[in-house]
Amino acid sequence: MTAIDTPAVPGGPSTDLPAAESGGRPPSRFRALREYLRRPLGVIAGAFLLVVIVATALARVISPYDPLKQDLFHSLALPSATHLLGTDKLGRDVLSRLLWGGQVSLLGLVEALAVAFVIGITLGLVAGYVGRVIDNVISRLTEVVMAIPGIVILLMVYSATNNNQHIGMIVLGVLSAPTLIRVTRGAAQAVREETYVAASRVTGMGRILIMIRHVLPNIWGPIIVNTAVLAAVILGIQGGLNYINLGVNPPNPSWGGMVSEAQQTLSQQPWLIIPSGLLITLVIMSFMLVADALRDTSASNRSRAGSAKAAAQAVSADGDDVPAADEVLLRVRDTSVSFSGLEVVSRVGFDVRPGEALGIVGESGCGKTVTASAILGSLDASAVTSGHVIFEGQELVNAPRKVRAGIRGSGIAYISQDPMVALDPSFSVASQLGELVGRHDHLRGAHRRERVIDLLTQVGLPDPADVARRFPHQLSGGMAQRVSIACALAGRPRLLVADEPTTALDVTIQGEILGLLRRLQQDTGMSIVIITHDLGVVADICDRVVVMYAGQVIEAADAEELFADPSHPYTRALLASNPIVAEAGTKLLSIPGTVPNPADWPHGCRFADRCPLRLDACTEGPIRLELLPAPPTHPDTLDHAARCIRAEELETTNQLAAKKTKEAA
Amino acid sequence: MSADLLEINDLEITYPRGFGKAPFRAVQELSLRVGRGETVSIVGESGSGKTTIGSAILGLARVASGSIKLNGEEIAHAGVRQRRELASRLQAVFQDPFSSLDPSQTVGDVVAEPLRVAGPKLSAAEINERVVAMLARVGIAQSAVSKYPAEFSGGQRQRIAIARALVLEPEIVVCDEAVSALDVSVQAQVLNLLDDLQRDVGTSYVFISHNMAVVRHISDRVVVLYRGRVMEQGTAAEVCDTPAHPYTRSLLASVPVPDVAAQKGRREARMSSIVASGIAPHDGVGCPFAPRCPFAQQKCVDATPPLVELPDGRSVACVRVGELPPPDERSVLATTAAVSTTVTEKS
Amino acid sequence: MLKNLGLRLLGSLVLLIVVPTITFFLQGAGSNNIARSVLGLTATKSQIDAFNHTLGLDQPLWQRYFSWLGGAVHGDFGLSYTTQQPVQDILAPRLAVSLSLIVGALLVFTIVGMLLGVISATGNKIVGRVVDAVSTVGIAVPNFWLAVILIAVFAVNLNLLPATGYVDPSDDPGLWLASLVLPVIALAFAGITAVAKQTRDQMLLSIASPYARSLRANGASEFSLVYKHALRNAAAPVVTVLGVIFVGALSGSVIVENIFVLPGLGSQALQSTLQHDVPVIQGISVYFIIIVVIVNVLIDIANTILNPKVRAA
Repeated sequence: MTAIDTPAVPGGPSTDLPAAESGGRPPSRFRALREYLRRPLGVIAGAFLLVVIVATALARVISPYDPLKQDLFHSLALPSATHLLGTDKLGRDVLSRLLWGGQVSLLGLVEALAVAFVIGITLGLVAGYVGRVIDNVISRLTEVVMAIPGIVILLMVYSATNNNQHIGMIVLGVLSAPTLIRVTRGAAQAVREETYVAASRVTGMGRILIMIRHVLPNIWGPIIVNTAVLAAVILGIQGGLNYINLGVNPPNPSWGGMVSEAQQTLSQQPWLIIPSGLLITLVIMSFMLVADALRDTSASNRSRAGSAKAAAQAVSADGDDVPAADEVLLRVRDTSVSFSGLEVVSRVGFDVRPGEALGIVGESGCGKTVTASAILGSLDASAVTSGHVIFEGQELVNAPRKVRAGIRGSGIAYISQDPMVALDPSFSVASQLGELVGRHDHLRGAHRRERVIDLLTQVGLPDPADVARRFPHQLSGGMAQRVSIACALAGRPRLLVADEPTTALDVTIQGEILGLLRRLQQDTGMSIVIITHDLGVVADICDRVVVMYAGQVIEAADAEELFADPSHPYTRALLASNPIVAEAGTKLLSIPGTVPNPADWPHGCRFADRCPLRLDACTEGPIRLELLPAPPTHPDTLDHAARCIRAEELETTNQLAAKKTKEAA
Repeated sequence: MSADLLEINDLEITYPRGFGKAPFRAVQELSLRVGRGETVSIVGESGSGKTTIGSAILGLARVASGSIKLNGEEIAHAGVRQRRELASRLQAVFQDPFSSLDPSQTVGDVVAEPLRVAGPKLSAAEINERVVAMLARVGIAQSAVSKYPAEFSGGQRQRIAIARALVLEPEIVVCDEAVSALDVSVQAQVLNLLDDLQRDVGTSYVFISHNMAVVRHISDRVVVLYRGRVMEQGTAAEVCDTPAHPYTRSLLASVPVPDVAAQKGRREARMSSIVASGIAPHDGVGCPFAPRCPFAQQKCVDATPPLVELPDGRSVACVRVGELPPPDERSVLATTAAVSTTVTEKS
Repeated sequence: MLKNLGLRLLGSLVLLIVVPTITFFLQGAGSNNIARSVLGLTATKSQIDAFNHTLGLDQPLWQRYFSWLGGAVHGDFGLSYTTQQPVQDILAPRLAVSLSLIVGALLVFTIVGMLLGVISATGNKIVGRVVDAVSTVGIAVPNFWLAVILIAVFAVNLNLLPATGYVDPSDDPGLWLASLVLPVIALAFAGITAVAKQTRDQMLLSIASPYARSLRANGASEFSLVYKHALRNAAAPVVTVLGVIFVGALSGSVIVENIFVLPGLGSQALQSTLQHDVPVIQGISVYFIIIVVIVNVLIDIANTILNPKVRAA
């Protein structure tokens, strides 16, 4: 077994889309810094803040004049070489006053922020991680503080302390703490649910140790972002307080106070309102931009796709050489999909005949959900689709919106994997289903309602009128999936695309839903394309199967034929590694390694690295999907194709094995 | 030695449902024994309480009543200190390989944590040596020590999680849906690994799963749970190949197998294994499966059926167990193993 | 649902008691200067004693607190230290001014904010970018500076609107409106961008959600996905944000009223603070809290209507 194979997509069948893959993330500080430095706005804002902070700190050294020195001969002067930002009503140098005033503002900011930070993190962490009663108390308290118009308290404080800026800022810090408490609490709650915390508890680590080792390191991101936002907010409030001369005592300068002074001479010298006000605005804006950049940095750290390696794929294998069936409802040919230059589905092809159920089967990261989305036309705008998807003779790849809209629901309908999120939580079942009925059948009022009840009855819900009244959160998983199916049936579709329709359900419910789909197919004559990772589901419901691996179709056959005579090593391995087929107590047959990332797809056979039957020829160039001759035992078998140069050999061994079994019997 | 390693008696676990409501009983009257080197599976659907039982063993869920003993030592209400002492004997592997490793720690730190917190006093070099050795045993290269979990695939992460759980060579490991999130080929790798480690070290597993096929493959004994109650328990062969309880039968019949012909028969068996019987337990009394049971009668809900031991040694909680027809042959899993295994032949 | 509403009301009651209590004792801490600051530095000892006696300031702090509390329950907030008028008489006419400003701002940031949010969620990328850029600037401009600039541009330069002052609507509704335009804009500006951002983010979330994907694939129209489903699902979170912004705007009104010299509660609050006029400040904090409580109840009701999960609970 390869010790370290390529990082791949999580096992959950939902994450079939390679664009969502998480690549490597060593969360080193340097990496985060590098990531941050890639954002020009964030860099500029950060540099500006740094300059302001340094200049303010060095006010004593660099300010050209005494901020209080009056020069009535040069009052209200515009900027000049002697006074870079002009002078105020009393002839004081504006630049010097800004520098000195900055000390008041920034020191106050640090005080308030420090208080908010300490309170926020401590209480947030305790509330979020410890939970229960303590969480309740802290949360209620937070709500109360958030509902207090802070200014009332601040006015009192300044009044009671004779305009003491430090105490005022500390109180402002207390009043601002709730935002940080909430953020920390939310993040800590999320981390608490992670199983690595459970694992540490099992190891006997105490709460405090877990908070320090496992919770804090994983929630710094949102805390720092929100601290930057809070800095901006505090600065704005502080400016307002200084504007009404709270926290500062004129003639001492402050940024907010300077706006107020400028206002008094507004009609004589409007220029004066610019330097102080603009500086406050720029500093606040810089904090916001820094916060934005930090947020992007931590977000991209979390989901860095393998797009760095997004080098364009070499021209892939020839298109799937699938024989055309006589009567075809949906024809997929040469369909490729790429995201930002990275091909994730390569020239896929298959046909769906009327009334047929086709299974697309494969593991995570093989491109089956993307293929389904290409059929549905629901890929997002960044995806590039090529090739043909022809439904009832109509080309759908890059078709005009109108063509797609005419087919949605009535030609091709869809049910998704997780029924609990497939329905709009804000509307009742009757309303959502009614909307679709209205669109397709143009029914209103009682007729619409009647059809809604019909549909709910059709999907086997015992009390349709009751279900119609319910909201999605009042449905069980099985009921929700039935309602989703009813939504899909509203337009009387000829084709139903079902993406892992039973994966999120319990096995007994899965059985019921599969039974329902089979019955509906028989009743309505519609075709079904079912995306699944479970070969058992395929055996239960499908007439034909397409097996996908690393973005390609690697085998296609009638279902019976595929299970009896798997002719691609991957298909065989997929079947053999299923514990259902293993003798109890024996080793399972497993495939070493994992499905490669789209960026790492080899030029030759994409399964070669993991294949026990590999030959040198396998890696020399793209392998074609080729039609296999019908075996003599089943001369009437149609359309069995495999993408393997040894497929015919394998077919023969299958027949030998079958013979042996028969003889033994 | 006949004493069981893990012994659970009359376990009840409840969750509060808010003021004025009786607490929700997630697990009731559960008794369970796990011997040395044995794998006991707890199987059931969502809401069955299977994960709750695992959490209770691990000290992650509060036990309302009953006892959990490890080597005769009561651990149901163990505090942090006792847990730390237990850590070298009792460990866990959880479901989601993407949440089971702290993303801010290196793989080396992840695996070393149990050694540092609960292990014997070791030097840094000794810890490192053990970590590397353990990683090698689960098939992860030494270079992984300084990497972060995000650099590994789902299957590899689950290997790392297993290395962490086994680095203290515990006597018993609770595997909570440990392979459920993995693709079938990777799942097979991890199941084989668990099996290898058990052979080498003699660890016992409490294997919690919803997947009957996996359970049948890996277990010595199986406990079938429904709505917090044991429906049936016995050896894996008994439970999976000759299921006695109607619920076990429906569970087995519902597993789709990759064989078109076999599945055709199983489909019919599945459809007759669950019906709307119109008979329901009330006020918490009666068989919880009665509403969906094809064999339900009024007597099923007159009292809650007790778990009764049958002559063959298994236990079943069904008052009609003696009157039931034998299970539909098509619905059991033993008859379906038939697929060619030539894939491993190296050319 | 009623239980939830009841709990929230209980929380409001706590607020109603806690905040005036805090402010009372904060002010009490500095009460020895009250007589000095009211009567001036030249007042004699006996004048001060007499002043303290009439206003009950010679009693211990906790006793003053309870007698104030007893009165406040009946709507009697005591006498102002400076003018010796009943506090409620001072505040009543000012409440109307503040309400005009605050309700005006609430309407503006709700309506304009949601409109901008919908436009940027549904419009093309450029519209979204523009709204984004304006949002960043909009949140950064502090209201007091914006107010001064508005005065400079619209009052001093263009002479379109009055710079300061307030006209009672019964005197001249047109001038009343004109006197409110600039203050309302200054107060609402930051809220507009916050509401717009929340509206847009929530709508985009809904448009990209799995249920939207299912509905679209099964034939629902784009129009319905945006204007029915996305808007409806954005409503509850937007309403919640409105509450937070409103409390901020209430604080902001104190500064805005001072800039535009509006005779409202806010300007009185600052003036009374400088004069250490405790009863007036107490009265104002009670008024403010009552406004917050009313708005919170309205928001809770709105949330109950908008969120089926809360409704069912």
